[in-house]
Amino acid sequence: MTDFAGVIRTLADSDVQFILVGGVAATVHGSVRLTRDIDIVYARTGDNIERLVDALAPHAPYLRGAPPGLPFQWERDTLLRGLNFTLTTRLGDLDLFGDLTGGGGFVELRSHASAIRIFDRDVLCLDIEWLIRVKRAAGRPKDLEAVAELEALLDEMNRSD
Amino acid sequence: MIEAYKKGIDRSLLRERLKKTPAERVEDLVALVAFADELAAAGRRTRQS
Repeated sequence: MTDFAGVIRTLADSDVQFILVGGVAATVHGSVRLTRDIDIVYARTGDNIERLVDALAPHAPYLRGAPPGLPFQWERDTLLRGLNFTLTTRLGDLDLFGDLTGGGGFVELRSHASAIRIFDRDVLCLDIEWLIRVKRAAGRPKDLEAVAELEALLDEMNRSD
Repeated sequence: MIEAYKKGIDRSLLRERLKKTPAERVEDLVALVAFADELAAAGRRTRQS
């Protein structure tokens, strides 16, 4: 089971720069869909990558779905050589995005994210309009279902204004 | 396709969810995942017995 609070607190307490995206961000905006993993866009600076590596190292990050024994090293150079990582950790499943299709990276998305307080931590969450945009760009059936709900939520928010 | 998906959405559920704070919505998700996991575990126990 995903320890949502554990992941968020681990990242926030280590001063990792990240933006919540994906299903948990949709939940923040009112989605009632169930999600089990946490998706974040992380800043691709050397310092932030080091903080991210140090924060998650105690939780045994490994490539989700990869066979055991694969020579995967959770270290700074691995993150520098790659971009997006689908991980399993002792805290649960965590997807790291250096870049999101249709949205860009942390720098591009920062101005489209707002601070929210969850699990007693202040974190950035992608705004609903941009969440819709990146999910549309992803284009998988489950993303389009999510877009339908997010657009319905946006309608309801605008109606109540 | 998105418009077709919208027809299946329970808007009253969304309105109720929007009355909550973001923190409360995430707490609801945590509880829902725990409940789903418990149901799945119960199913596995039933199949094994």
